[in-house]
This record gives sequence, structure tokens and C-alpha cells, in this order.
Amino acid sequence: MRFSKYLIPLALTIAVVISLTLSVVLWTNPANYRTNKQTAQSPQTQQMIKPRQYVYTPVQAIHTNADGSQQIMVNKLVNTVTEVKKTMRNYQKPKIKTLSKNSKVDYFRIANQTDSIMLNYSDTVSMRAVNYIVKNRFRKLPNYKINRIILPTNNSTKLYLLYDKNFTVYEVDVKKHSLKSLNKVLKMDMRTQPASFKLLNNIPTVYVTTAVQMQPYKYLIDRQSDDYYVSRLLNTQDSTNVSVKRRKNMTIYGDQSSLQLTFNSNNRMAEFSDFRPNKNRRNLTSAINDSYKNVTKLGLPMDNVRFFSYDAKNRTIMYRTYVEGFPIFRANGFGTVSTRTLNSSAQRTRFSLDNPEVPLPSNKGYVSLPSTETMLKRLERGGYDIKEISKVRLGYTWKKDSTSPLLIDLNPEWYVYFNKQWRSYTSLMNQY
Amino acid sequence: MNFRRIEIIFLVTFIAMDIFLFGMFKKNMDMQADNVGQGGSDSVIIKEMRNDQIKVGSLSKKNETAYYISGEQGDVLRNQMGQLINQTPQFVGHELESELKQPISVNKDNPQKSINTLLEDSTFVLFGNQYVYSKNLSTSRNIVYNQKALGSSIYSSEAQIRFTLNSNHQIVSYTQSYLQNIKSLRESSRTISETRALIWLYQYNEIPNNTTVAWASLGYTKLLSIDGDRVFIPTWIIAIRPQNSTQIQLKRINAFTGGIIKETDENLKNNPSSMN
Repeated sequence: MRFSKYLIPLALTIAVVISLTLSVVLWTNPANYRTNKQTAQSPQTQQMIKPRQYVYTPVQAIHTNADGSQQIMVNKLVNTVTEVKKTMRNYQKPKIKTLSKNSKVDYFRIANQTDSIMLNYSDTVSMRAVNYIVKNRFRKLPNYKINRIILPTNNSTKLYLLYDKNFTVYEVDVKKHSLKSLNKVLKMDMRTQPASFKLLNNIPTVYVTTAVQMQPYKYLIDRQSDDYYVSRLLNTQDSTNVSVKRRKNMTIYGDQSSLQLTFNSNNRMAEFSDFRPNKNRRNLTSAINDSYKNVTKLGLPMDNVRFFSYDAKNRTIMYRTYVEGFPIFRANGFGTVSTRTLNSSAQRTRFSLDNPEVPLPSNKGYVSLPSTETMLKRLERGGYDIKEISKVRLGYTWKKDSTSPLLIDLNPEWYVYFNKQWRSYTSLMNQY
Repeated sequence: MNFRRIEIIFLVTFIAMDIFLFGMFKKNMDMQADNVGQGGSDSVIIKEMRNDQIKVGSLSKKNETAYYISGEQGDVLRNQMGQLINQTPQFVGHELESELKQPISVNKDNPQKSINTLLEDSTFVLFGNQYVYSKNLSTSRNIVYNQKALGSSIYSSEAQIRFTLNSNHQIVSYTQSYLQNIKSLRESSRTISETRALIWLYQYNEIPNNTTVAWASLGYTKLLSIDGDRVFIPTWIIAIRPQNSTQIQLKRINAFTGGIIKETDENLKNNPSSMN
């Protein structure tokens, strides 16, 4: 029979082809070679790694009333920014257009519009960072630089993105959505602080218009040992290669080729230098991405740690721990962790071994700080050139507690960016 | 042997090989699926637990929000115990111990139903409406109520009412402790889910084989004391019972960090080294 004559060779050919295909698939699949072991991340570190939308988030929310008066929404029982962010996950069909550029009038008309909430980033971020908040809905929008987001509480089809440097206003049109949840946030339990949004030395700045009441805090700190970071960061194939040098209060660990970890036992700071080749990227989005990877690699507790600033000149990104929505400043103005790319074969991460963990009840009453205007006037009277100040922030000063090495005090304080460093108002005033 | 027979032998061999390869291919796919996403790996670990003869009920994957809270141990109970009637209250340590002059009968099967109404009466128990029944901690002769705090309740002997029942389902006495000025120390944050808490407890090797997870509950437990102040953190309290035993063991997982909490009772300022 003609048919059965070809049946066996045909079946044989098919069987051979199938076995060849399967063999190729199996051989080229890397999963085959991986032993089925659990990824070596301890539960602790999994929890410590915070997602990008947690770290690169606006840090302040300001509400503009129907009568145009403005107030900072200060965290009390809820984190106000987080609550506002929760209402932003459902934007449909976003379309962006540039409303104006280089016009301060237009910029402030949009920023200070009545019935709106303004979310402020601590420093310029790119659209990618905004995209994290809105659950990836803005992924198709161009990667503009952004400082602020304006959410009208009475217009359900529009929101605005602002870029401070050249006073650009972008309008994002979205499909009509419910504003109920956004308006509900305004009724939540929070403290408010009267404010106004205007220019300081040609830079858009949030002014606090009355004296501010702020709560001092006591915190229990998470005290990490040197060993923890040595084993995490210098964990090369064989640990016998790690060398140790001690000099006064410095301890230097190295893997003899490309990694170095320095601890300062005096101020409990550490510095990790990585001399392996890096991507050396310069644009904002890549810089932020590379920095995020370096920070998460550390295994530092990231609770309430937020992106604070990016210095494009020396490519330094600073992160700070926030309390009640205000950043913590340590001695010499340092935050919690900073990353810096020096060139294509040097990256440096500085971080603190002590970090705030649990807030403790403090019996100290609220502290009153002067309004922004008053504070600046006093500095001027103290002989400082106000034109040199580019940023002002309310913050907390980190101070060791006298009763226990595991406790710190956080005292409210004004901070100004003066002569390329963050200085507290009292330290400036005490200088004379 | 003719050519046709060789062909058949080859065919059979290759089909057998195909079946073998396909089996391997499928196994590979499963292995990859295991590695993808946390949800996948979670269920794998739960499966692993069941293989270790650990009995687990259905678990919630929901992340909730909670606070760091503080409360003070004070003298409010002592100051106000004069208003209690038909009982002889005594203030011992920081607890109010009271014996009823006349035992009060309660519902046989659900004693908490009767007690809930009794708690409304401030001449029977002080601040009774600030406590909530804890099924998990109660036994047939010992009914436990925990003090409420910011949408959850405190699991601590320092914020509890324990009613002692006699064999006739009557309350004969109770012990009460109370924390005043309960407040949040920081805005709310997300906690880990029940599933995660259990998995981490398992990965810390704190769940022995041949045990049953009796219940898990999110509540506040004491982290430390500073003088009169108590600091509480949200905690997943997980009750483990060895099979063929009735003894329950409580384990605590910090619901913010996922770390395991060992029992400590020192005052922070007296003994700082214990708080590492």
C-alpha cells in the first residue's frame, strides 16, 4: 500500500524533529542549570526594600481653598501625601500638552488656582517617577522634568504638572473620573499650617505665613553593626580576601581590588566605594534609576526614607528620613543615604549606621518656629545675604539623647540652603 | 533485519525520548513559574509547610495599616474605683482586682454576650466600653477582654480584663488593667499580610513540624517601656499548637518590619543593651 509505505518514515521524521526541538529548548533554558534553591534574601531585607514609588514620591501636600488661602497638610493620623496618591491610580487615556513656558504669571495662576491640591517633590524628578504613582498610566507621556503636581478638586478631567526651572506648565487631560475620594482626603484627620506659594530669589518656594507649631520627637534607633554591611557589600566569592585596616576611629575594609567600605566610629557613618565599571549615565531618569539600585543593594532600613535632592553637577543624590512629612538633617546637613557617581569607574554611597526606627512618646510640648518671612528677615539682620539662599525647609535636627545611646532627639528647626550646604537657622544665627 | 524493522525500532525509541523530554520540559516550566512573582513563591512555601505536617487554615494576603502607639500606666482605676458597686475592688500593682459580692450569671454558651451588656455599666466595670472580647485568649472559665486602640486591640496583660467564672457559669471575680492616653506616635503605615507573617515565622524556624497554626491575629503588643510609658507596635500574633497537645504557644512577628519579637520586659532606660 502506498500510504503505509510513507507512514513510518513520516512519523519517524516528526519524532526526530520534536526531540531535536525539545532538546534545544531544554539546553538553552537557563532555569535548567539553576539549582532549585531559595533566593538568598532574608525576610528582613525583603521588607526593607521599598518600591520606587515609595522612595521617589512627593513629600508635601498643599491645599488651596475656594477663597485662595493655602495650607500645608501635615501628617497626623495619616500620611496625607500617601492618601492623595491613592486617589491617583485610575487615570484613563492621558494626553499631555504644554500650556505655557517661561511665564511666571501662568505658572502661578495654575499653581495657586482655587480648589486644588498641590503635591510637591523635594527636587526635580522625571515623568517616570510620576508614572510610578499613577500605576503606570503615564508610561506613554514624554519624559519631561517635573517638580509639582496640581490636582484640581473640582475638575475631573484635568491635572497639571509643573517644572520650576523654566516655569513650564503641562496640562494632562484624562477621562472623567470621580473626585469623591480626593475630596474625602481633605476631611481626614490632619494638622494644617497656613502657607503661600511664591518666589524666593526667583525660585518657587512654599512660604509658611504664620509661626509654626512642631512636635519634637524621641526615636529609638536601629543600630547596625559594621559586620552586617561587610558581609552584604563585600560578599565576593571567598571572604578570606577581605582586608581590614584600622586608623584612629576609621576602619577600612577592602576586597583588594574594586570594593572598599569605610566606617567612622565617631559619627557612625559609612562609605562604600565601588570602583567597578558603571554605566556612568548622566540624564536624570538614569541617574535616579542607578542610584535606586545602589541604595537598595545596601540593605539599609528604608522606612520613611524619601528622595530629597539631585545635584546634577557632582551627580549626588540625597535621601532623607521624613518625620510627619519633614526631613531629618544630621550634623553637617547629611541625610540618611547619598549616592554619587564620580566617573565610569567610581561610585560612592554614604550612609548612616544608625537610623530612626520607633517613635517614642515625648513629653515635650510643641515648639514654635517663626514664619518663613520672619526667619529670612532675622537672617538678613544677622548679616546674611538673603540672595544667596536658594531653598528653605522646615526640618528636624538629629541629636544624640543623653540618657541612652539607643535614643535620639529630633528637634524642629528651620533649614536654609546657603553657600551650597544645608545650614540650620540657629547655627547661622549663633555664628555671630 | 530489513530496513522497515530498523525504522520501527527508531520510531519507538524516538517517541520514548520525546515523552521523556516533554516531561522534563514541563517540569522546567513549573520550576520557572515558582520563581516568578512573590505570590507564586508564597504558595510554594505554604505547600512546603504542609509537607512538614504543619496545618494551616486559609490565610489573608491583605496588607492593613496600623500605627506605633503609646499608653500610660496610671492611677485612674484606683481613683475611680469608688464608683463600683456590689463588689470589693482592690488595687494591687497596676491592676484592679475585684470580687463580686453576688455572682452574676452569664449565657452558658456565649458568656461574652451577657458580659458585653454588663460592660456598658460603669458601676460594674470602669471604662468597660473600651474593651473588646477576645475569643482567642478566652477559655470556658476565664473570659478575656482586650483594651481597644485605634481600630485594633492591645494584646497585653497591662490592658486587659479577665473575668473568672465558676462552674455554674457565673462571674465571681475579675481583674482589670488599663492604659490611659492611648495615642498614635506616627501616622499610619502599611503592615505585612497574614500570609507573609506566617511565612517569615516559618523561615525563622519558629514553627516546628507536626503542629497546627491555631489562629493568627493582628493586634498591638508591647515593644518597650520608658518610665511609665508603654510603646506598642502592631504585631501578628500567631498561636501554634503541637498536634496531640492542647498547649498553645504564642509567637509574635513585628507587622512593620517582619522581624520576630522575643519576650522582653525591661525598661529601656535601665537596660539599653537588651533592645538590640
